[in-house]
Amino acid sequence: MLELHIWGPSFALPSISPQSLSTIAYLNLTQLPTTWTLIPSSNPLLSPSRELPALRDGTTWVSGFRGVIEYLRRKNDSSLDDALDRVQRAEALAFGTYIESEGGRLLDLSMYLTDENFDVLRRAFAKLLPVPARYYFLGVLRREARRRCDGLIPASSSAGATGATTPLPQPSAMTATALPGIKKKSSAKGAAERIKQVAIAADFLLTVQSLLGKKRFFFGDQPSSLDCLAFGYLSLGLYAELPNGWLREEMLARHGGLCRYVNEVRGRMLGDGVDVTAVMSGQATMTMPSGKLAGGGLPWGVVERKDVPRVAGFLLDRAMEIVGITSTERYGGGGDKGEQTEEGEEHREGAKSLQRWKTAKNVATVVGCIGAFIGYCVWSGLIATEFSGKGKYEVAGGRGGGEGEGGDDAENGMGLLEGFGSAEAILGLGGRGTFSRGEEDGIDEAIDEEFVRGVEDGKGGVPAEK
Amino acid sequence: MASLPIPQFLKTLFNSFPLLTYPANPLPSRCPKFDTTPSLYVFTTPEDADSGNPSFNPSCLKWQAYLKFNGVEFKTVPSNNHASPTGALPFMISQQKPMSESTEVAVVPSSKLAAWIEKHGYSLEVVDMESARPKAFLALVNSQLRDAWLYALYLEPNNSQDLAGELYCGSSVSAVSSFLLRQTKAAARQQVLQAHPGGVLDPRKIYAGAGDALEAISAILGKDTWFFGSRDPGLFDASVFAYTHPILNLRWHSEEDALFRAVMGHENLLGHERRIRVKFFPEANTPDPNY
Repeated sequence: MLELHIWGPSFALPSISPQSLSTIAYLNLTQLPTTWTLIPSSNPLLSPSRELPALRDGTTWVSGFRGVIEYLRRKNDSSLDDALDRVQRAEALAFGTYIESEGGRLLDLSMYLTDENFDVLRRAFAKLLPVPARYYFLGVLRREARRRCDGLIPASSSAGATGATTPLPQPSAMTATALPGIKKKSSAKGAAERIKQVAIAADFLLTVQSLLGKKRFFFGDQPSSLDCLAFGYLSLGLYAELPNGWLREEMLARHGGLCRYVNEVRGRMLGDGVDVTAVMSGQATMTMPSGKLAGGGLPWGVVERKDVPRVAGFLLDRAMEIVGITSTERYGGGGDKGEQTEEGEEHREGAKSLQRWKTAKNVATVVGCIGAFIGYCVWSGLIATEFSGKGKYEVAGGRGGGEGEGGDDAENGMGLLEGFGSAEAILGLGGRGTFSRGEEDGIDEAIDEEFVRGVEDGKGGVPAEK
Repeated sequence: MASLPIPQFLKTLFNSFPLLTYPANPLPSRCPKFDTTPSLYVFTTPEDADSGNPSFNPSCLKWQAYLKFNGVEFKTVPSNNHASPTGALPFMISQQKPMSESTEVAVVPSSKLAAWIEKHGYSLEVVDMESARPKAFLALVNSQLRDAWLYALYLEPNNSQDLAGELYCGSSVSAVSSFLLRQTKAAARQQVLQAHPGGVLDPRKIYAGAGDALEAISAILGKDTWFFGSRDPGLFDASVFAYTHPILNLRWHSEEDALFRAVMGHENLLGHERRIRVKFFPEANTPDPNY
């Protein structure tokens, strides 16, 4: 049984992410409904590469649209692209990459980087995720979107992005009447931004339209993986009902051919509309009042809501990230370990040990810093101890000695202190008579000697009391 | 802003020391003299700059090659990102009149180079980059191939030390170079992570993606001389050459040369690289397949 984990449904579509939609479409076209289930888990931490969509087959995980179709091609020895020749395959890959990168950026702009739309998205994610995760993942997704669109367009302010067709919401209308200058400025800014957005959208949509031409599918009469990919991105642009729907309006107004294409293939690729609440509560087979199935005919599975381990998992993950132990260097476990040459394996081992060394260094630094801090607290008397002066230093010195490179500094510091401690003793301030020679001239020498000894051995600097 | 009234005694004081503006100092003698030949600022070594050899940086080489395709007379100047007004190389300084007549210098960043070339009447009959197919294939070069290049050069442990460190972060102070290398690596990682939002970089996946991309580019070239059946090389040819040439010429560490092997596997891409190299960069190094 194949399990496809995806970002959960919204806007009557089975998923909120274009890649998940494309993958669902591909599985829907190639697999029998009894052989796979769709799980709206919305948790990218499940898969080893921490990406969704992810397909689980027994213990094997593959992620991403391309990863999934490649895995299925190998497993079933057939794929949607079998009928294509070499040049068509090259085109499928190139057009697909274009749609992924440009279309992805367009959806990022429309969904994550337009403020009113982001508010709607927030509500959509609230239905999919438990409490702490919904804030965390949404922030992560928005940050990624912003990074991808870097330099394309500034993230719109709520004032600037108000589209020409949507009426101003009440609060901003009030501020706008109070400050007419600002209103004028912001609407001009909004219009400029909209022109820019529409230009980007038109560029992408025209290109895709000309690639599609007048054909039924991208490569003739049969759908290919490229059709699934394009459908995922275009359907989210067309069917996501957002308050500032510049992308949707542009598609409807000027790219009728693409809208027709998406409408035609929708039934075949994704089934009917999806009822989000029903699917998330595990009632996908329930019949809606309109006579349709709530799950739209897709083989929905139930999300295992293990909220506590999941929240703990992601908190731990965050904590490790902050400390500097990221899993970015972790090598995802693919299904083709057998193909690795021994040389490659050795090399990977080398890279791993490099990573381990880095991690060890990070940990050592953190522990060393904490050690130094505690040492400082003890030394400055912030932590009062019951020990005598000597005992106090020993405790602190011992702690510093056990802890890595940062600890060495602390140790030396303690050594110095002890040196001073002994000097103190030599000078008779502590009431300890150490003037063995009893001569005034010998004092300086004795101080030096004791001092050096204290630094060198790091702990035995305090002479025994007599 | 309302001006404050100046007290009388200050006024008399200032009047006795009037503000005098001296004429501007002449530029220092080591300042570069611009002649009418435009200069393209790229990542390269001083020796390679003199002989006009290809830059080792793909985005610089792309424009360098494209200018050569269009028959533009220019010279290359070794530089780095800090010199650029946009923060990224390449950029071009072109001067219409000799330095003695005018100090006006036109700085053309890489995003405006195509328009600059067109404006200066060097346009060739090439395939229109605005049409859909070249655009889609350019996306392939700029995502999969670029990611693999960045990974191979900056994030493979040995390559990053021996190649990226030498080429991009050469400073006489070792502490500075190691800091620069660290910074460059972090930037490269961030770039590669854009396509891998999960934050997990699997080299096998990245190189496999680049292999697929090269296979697709090779398939679309077929037996043609230049891409998309055009009579002269165009911007897409330049973009592909900008990756294949450095990939074939860098001395990759023997265990981290997956990209090199991927290019070596496509006979027609090697031929494409050779055609451009022989015709436009006659003095460039010949890649050594046996190394």
